Amino acid sequence: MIIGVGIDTVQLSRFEAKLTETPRLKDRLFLDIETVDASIATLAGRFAAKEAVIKALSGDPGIEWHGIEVGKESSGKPVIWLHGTTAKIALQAGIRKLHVSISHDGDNAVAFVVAEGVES
Amino acid sequence: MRELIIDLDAIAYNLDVMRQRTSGAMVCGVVKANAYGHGMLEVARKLEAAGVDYLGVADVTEALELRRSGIVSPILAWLHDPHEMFVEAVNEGIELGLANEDHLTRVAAAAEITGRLARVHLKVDTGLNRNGASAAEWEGVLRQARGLVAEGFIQVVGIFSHLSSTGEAEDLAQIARFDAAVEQAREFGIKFELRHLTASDGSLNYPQAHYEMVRVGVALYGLSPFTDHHSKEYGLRPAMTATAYVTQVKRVPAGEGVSYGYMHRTKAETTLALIPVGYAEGLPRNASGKASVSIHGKTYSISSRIAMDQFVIDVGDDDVNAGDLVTVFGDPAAGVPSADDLAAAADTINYEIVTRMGGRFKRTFLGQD
Repeated sequence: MIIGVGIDTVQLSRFEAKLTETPRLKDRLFLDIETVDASIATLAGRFAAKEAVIKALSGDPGIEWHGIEVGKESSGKPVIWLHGTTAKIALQAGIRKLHVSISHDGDNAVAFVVAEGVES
Repeated sequence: MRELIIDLDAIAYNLDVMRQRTSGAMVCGVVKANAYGHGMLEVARKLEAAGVDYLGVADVTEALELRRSGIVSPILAWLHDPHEMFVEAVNEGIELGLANEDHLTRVAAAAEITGRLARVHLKVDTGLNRNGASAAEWEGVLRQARGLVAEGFIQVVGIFSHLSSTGEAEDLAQIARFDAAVEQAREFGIKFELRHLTASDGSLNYPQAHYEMVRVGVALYGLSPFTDHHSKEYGLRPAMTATAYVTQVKRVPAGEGVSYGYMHRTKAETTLALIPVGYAEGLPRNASGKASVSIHGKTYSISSRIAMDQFVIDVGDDDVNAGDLVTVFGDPAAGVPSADDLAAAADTINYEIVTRMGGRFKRTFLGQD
């Protein structure tokens, strides 16, 4: 069953400006593995996916940026893995799988997340 | 100062002794309960440096403490809180001993949501009636595990159980039940690398039951798992020595009562020595009147009542002074009372004696790399 959904859009130029303005922001938002060879468009898409995950988890205050890993399967399909406290919060909410789709157009990235699980 | 002197070299030596006695089997060094009171991290680091194959602990909290302190060896934890979510454990690559469908489901969920394969050991109860799937539950556990393997959530690394050490007949019956449970797992098409059944006692008694791995705890600490055989018979060296210093001496006349309840009364004018170790340090109160300690190589009975912080011994006219070293227990080869002696005095087993030592004792490690 569907436990939650989340959607978020990110403006690439504004996101890039923020990252330049606050040099440590990138490390706060992303795991090292998420930033390897990642363009601004990829990072913006991943950030939108993280925001969408937070919305799908109803914004629990225990959620951590580093607790949400946005990666991709060998086919290129985006995938979300959760870690630590964030994974625990999701499991306690009955969530067993997160589905994500990311899209780009012009200066925008958008991500949509569906949280699937069991009734807890 | 009250001191537990932990000889890490003795522990590494005992690992070698047990390796020779379990020829070819992998060794899981069991470091649960603060390494039986010896200091979990220090012991684990020593064992890792000495090439131990696995480290075993009871619960996930102990396992995570080891991993987050830089231990890279495989770690197996097998006794779980009913609310355990297994997320950190799966994330940190802790191997999990599992015995029921509820735990398997939660481990699989943790694997799915973290994107990591969970490595599990399925535990079958072969007669001890503690944790482990009963004969009736085993098939359900195998069926579920097979499904979770197919879905890519778990890998079954091992199948294990634990003996009751009741007697040879009972142990042999458990070994037979273990073999049958393993066979059943094979019939279910479950692939695994390790079978492990025996702890220190079974590993010494049943060479036919070493399988691919043995789990060694008490023997690593140089203690015998049997009350009727001393560790020396197996070439093991006790690793823990408990010491303190005489705090005060007092010359008293004959007929004086000593400590609570006047359990001891002086027979003649004598010297009493006060030693600052009590049941807060883990010295069992019920060993009063039965246990002994050693000063200058001579053994003295703890003839009075052991209190929370201290006990008093009657040293007669011997030249004992404040500041003299007292050995509460240690390696009997050094002529001092052993953990076995203290265990006998307290009507318990050596395992409990070393594991309960704590309180205001400070651990000093010898042989740290």
